[in-house]
Amino acid sequence: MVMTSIDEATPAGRKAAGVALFHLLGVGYAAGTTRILPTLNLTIPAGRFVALIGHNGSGKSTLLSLLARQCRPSEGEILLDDRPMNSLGQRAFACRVGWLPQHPPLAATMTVAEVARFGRYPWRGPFARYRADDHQAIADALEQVGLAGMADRAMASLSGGERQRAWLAMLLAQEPSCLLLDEPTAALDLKHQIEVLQLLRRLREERNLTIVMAIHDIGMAARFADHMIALKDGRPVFDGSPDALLGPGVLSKIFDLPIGTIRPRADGPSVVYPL
Amino acid sequence: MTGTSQPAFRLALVALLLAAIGALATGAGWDPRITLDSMRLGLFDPPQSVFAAVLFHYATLPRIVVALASGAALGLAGAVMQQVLRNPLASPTTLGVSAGAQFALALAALSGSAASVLPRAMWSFVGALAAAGLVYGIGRRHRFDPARLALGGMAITLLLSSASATLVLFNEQRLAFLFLWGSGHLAQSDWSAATIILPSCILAFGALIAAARLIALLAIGDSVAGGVGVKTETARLVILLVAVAVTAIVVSQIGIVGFVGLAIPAIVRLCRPRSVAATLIASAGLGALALFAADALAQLLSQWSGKLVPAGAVTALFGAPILFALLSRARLASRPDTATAPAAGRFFSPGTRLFVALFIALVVLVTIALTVGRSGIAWTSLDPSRDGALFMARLPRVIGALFAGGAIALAGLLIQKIVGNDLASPELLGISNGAAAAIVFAALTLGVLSRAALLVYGFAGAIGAALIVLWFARRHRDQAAAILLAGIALGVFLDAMVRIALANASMEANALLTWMSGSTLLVSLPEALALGLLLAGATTAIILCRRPLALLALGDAVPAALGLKVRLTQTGALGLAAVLASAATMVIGPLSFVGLIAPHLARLVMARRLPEQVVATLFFGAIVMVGSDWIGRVAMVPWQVPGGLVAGLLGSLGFLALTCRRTAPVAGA
Repeated sequence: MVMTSIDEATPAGRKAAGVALFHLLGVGYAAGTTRILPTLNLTIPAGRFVALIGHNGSGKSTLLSLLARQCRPSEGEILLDDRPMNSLGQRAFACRVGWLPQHPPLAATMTVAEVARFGRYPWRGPFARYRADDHQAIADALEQVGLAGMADRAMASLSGGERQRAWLAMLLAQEPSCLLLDEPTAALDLKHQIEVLQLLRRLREERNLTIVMAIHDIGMAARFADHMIALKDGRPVFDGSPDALLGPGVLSKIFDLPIGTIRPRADGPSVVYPL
Repeated sequence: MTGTSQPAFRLALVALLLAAIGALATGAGWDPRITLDSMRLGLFDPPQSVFAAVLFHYATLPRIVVALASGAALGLAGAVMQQVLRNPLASPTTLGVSAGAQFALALAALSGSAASVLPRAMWSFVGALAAAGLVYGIGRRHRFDPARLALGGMAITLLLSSASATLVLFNEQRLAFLFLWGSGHLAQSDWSAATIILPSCILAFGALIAAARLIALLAIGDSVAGGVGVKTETARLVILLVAVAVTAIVVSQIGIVGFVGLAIPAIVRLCRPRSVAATLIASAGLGALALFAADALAQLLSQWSGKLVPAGAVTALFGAPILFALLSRARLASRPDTATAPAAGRFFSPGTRLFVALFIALVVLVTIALTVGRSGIAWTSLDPSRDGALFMARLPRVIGALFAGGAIALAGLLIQKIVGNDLASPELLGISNGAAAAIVFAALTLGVLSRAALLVYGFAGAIGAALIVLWFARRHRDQAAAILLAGIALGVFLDAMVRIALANASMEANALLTWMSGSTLLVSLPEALALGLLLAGATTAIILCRRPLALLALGDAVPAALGLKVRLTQTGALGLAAVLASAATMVIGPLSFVGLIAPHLARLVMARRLPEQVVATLFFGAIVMVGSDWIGRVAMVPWQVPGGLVAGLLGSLGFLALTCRRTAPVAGA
């Protein structure tokens, strides 16, 4: 089991971990009497493409919801840029951090462009007019997810993958510096999975975004992400590079299942398979 | 307190509470002449010489049996309907059964000797079945889509209630008994009702428990149920038929006790029983105890006050607050399915032509309403320059109807946006009932009848009701079904109070009934203009805030992630809706249902974006109300039918036509 040995709870330790976007200091979460996340200390590095992996119910979605301020931790504190996360106003936070739930609303009676337009709300609020750069951001977002030609199509008429990409367009139009995505590829076919993950990787490089993504496909995650965090029963059990994750025996321990990895070509992606 | 015992524990607690209330109230209201000895004598075959034994045998005992069996039947039927239709708002009342029975009874009573071929109870039974059949027909057209079926039930209920109200308004003497019957009165003088209700209740109970597995599958969804080999349509039809039939039998015998069928299954669901069979059994049991307790309380209250208090009203009076309290503590497991929108590729834009057409229609209608009248059989046209006095008398009335229609329509649109449900409206959330209850009580207890004083009371009542819904919505901002249910509970509660008051005050009742049906006769010009000013301000505010309001359609999580203060937006919008609704209720009464129908009409003409919807809704509200008011004025000369009542009739007809269309209109909820 590979864990970072730096003590994240002390300021010195935080500095040593490099530039961090989120710091979770003793964060726990309980719904009623059911404990979902035990007390955990974790750092999300800035400017990285982080994949959150783990079994069903390991706490990936809860962790993302906490980072997105969708729920408040029952204990502990989350720092964003070394400041308490709650010190930001709601719209200011939305300009900084964008979040997409695992199952976005149906929005059956809206068009693709209207959904994408919602992404500009944090910047303009209820009353300010949308300016040229807002419209440009919306058009760019639709272009990047490949829906530019379908801007006035009804959301209800789209396939699952197209709908997922429309919500992604909203998130891109939002232009946050951090994206929190809960299984963004779950509804997509293989081709679109690759396209979305390539897009995310390109965005990270071009706009220096931080991306935190919960995902089940470890092979895909290791191929596109550059930092992996594994949760097991709410506890981080791995925090490191994709190569280290694919090392002998690591995945087997995380998932309690014998798992093998091979790399057919030295410069190609790895294949993960249960033994 | 975790583990398996919890649901059973909670259910037992509720049952114990109801039983205790029932026993205490029965004890307190017990006729001292009936001793233990006379009870023993009267149990089976009372000797005619002992009066107390006869009383016990022919009045007390059957009344208890009727209360228990009817309560069980209604609770069971409501639970089954809610499961099979996957809709927490389904109940005998919302599916048209009760309204059908009431309308048939009113018709039978008016047609006199022609109707005497069948006993009264038989007529209401036929009416109940016929109304349920109509609702079923609508559901069939939409492949039993739960939301469509519920909409159809609502439409039929609205139509038949408006029709009954019209009949009552013009035949107050002969139909006064409908007030009492419509509130559920359980007094018995023999075993005839009990021998009908008890066996049918037992039969239905056995049949439905036997079908528990089927009901559970239908509750999960048609695709799953069909996938494991259930003939979903047939199964649903048969199960619903049993539930409707048993309800119809009960209603035909004891009148409308609507709240048990809606509230008891909801209370049971809040206790989260493990299985469908447990839900059905618990609903039947709690329903029996609830009606028993309510009837005992009703008898007690009648004794104390010296006035007749019907049991149905008491179920609402006590059931509504209990449901309300439970809802505010727990989460409701299921929510109504949203209507499935057809997958149209692109949206049709109504364009400016629609608004030009609506504007022309409104102008034409206002002109007609101002100038065209009727005296006897002859139509008259009015020239404002020659008969200025009559013109000035009509003007406030027409303008008042115009602005009130617009205001209630806009309030309806706002509330539908906030709650995220097309079925929501100020009339259904109890806001209009708040105004009505306050006015009726002011008139009956304080003797206030001046226009200005009634205005103030009505406004206070509406704002009070809106505040309660508002407080509730703040606690349950993600629970559309819970908010609706709470609103209906509040409305039913207030309506029950009004019914109790009116059942004992028939002299003043007619005047109040006229107001409650929405008579625009009393509006003054300054009042109408003030309403117009309020409406203009509200419309401007809504158009300015269109971005946050549009975001509300995305639910809770995503708007919050985009930086919207969801709670603040909802609260503000509901406050505005309450002000609009109460102002409009003052003019057109609580029964118009324009607030429900106008937003639907707007969606029907493809108004989808919020500004379009606002303008179209305003126009439709105004058109329907001005038109209804004019029809009410000329239709039955020399009598005037209140405009609100005509709007209710017309609106529910239109609503019915709407829900009958094969495809749902594609427009934003």
